Amino acid sequence: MPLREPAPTPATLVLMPCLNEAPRIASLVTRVLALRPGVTVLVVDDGSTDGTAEAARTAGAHVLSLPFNLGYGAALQTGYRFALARGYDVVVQMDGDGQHPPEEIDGLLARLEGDDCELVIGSRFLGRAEYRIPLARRLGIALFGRLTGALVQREVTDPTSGFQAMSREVLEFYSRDFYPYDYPDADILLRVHYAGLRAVEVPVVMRAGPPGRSMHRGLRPVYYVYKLLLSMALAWVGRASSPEPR
Amino acid sequence: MQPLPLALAVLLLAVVLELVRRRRLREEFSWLWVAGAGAMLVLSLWPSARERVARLLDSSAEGTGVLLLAILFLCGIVLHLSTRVSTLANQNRTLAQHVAGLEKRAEDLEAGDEP
Repeated sequence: MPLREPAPTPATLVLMPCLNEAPRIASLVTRVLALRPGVTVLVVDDGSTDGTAEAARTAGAHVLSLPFNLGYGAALQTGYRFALARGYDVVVQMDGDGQHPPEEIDGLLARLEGDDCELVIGSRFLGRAEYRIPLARRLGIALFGRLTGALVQREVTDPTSGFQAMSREVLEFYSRDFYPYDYPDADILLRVHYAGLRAVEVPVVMRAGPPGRSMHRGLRPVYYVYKLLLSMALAWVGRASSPEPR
Repeated sequence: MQPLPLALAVLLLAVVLELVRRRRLREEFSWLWVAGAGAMLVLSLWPSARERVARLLDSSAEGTGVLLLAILFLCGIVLHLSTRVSTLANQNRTLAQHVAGLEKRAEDLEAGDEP
């Protein structure tokens, strides 16, 4: 299996962080490769115990296997660092649980081709969520969206969306040590803004993930709110000395 | 002189030194405990030191002053260990990412795909 298929220009990597997605990952990889045959699909297996890595590999993905579970953010960053090291120009990141339909990748990439942004974020609130978002989560998203929007002075409708396409500048920025292990959400959008990188949202459809698999279970939402507020405050305080893209 | 605190301070010092000797406690983490045991030793041997600590911490009773000092000391140790754990966690993340990258590189080379 060649590492880089006859690539379109720019060389594009589709990055999927996964934790125990063996039942779903093969069909997802197959659909991405069928829709965009020129891209490389990279699955970062974040310590799965159900054979996710093997299922992804069999379906035609390249796989990075973390020796143990590091967290969603750290798994993403593993993929960013890989993409940088292997010279990819563009990365599309999407969840490995099927929530982000591969059919939407074209829209993200088309928007990234314009010269007015380095980061494109798929928003389910500009598009459509084909599932019921719990009220508390909806309120949290709205709160952080408003807060982030006020700080970056543009509308932010979906600050928690992990469906993104990014240029190499963002890739380099995300590869630095400040990138969080767990929830890279509104705080990262702030840092992107303060680093002088431009982010835009495009409408996408999002589907329901597998039941009972949310990252926001138990007391985690409490920690999530604390962590995000702290991280946003620190990003705001340090905005003058925010690291610039290399 | 207070015999019980004195005995406890000596015991703590002995335990810490023994743990270092057996390589179960690194020198870099032992100094705080040695300093703590030393402070306990001084406070149990000299009542005037306890009075000074109580005055310094604006406490009316000697015992409360020493207790406050102990709490501050333990907070210092916990904070120190928290920063060390955070550093180790960052290093752990970088290491795990490198391992995954190297494993992938080895796989590619074995399969004849030049990275």
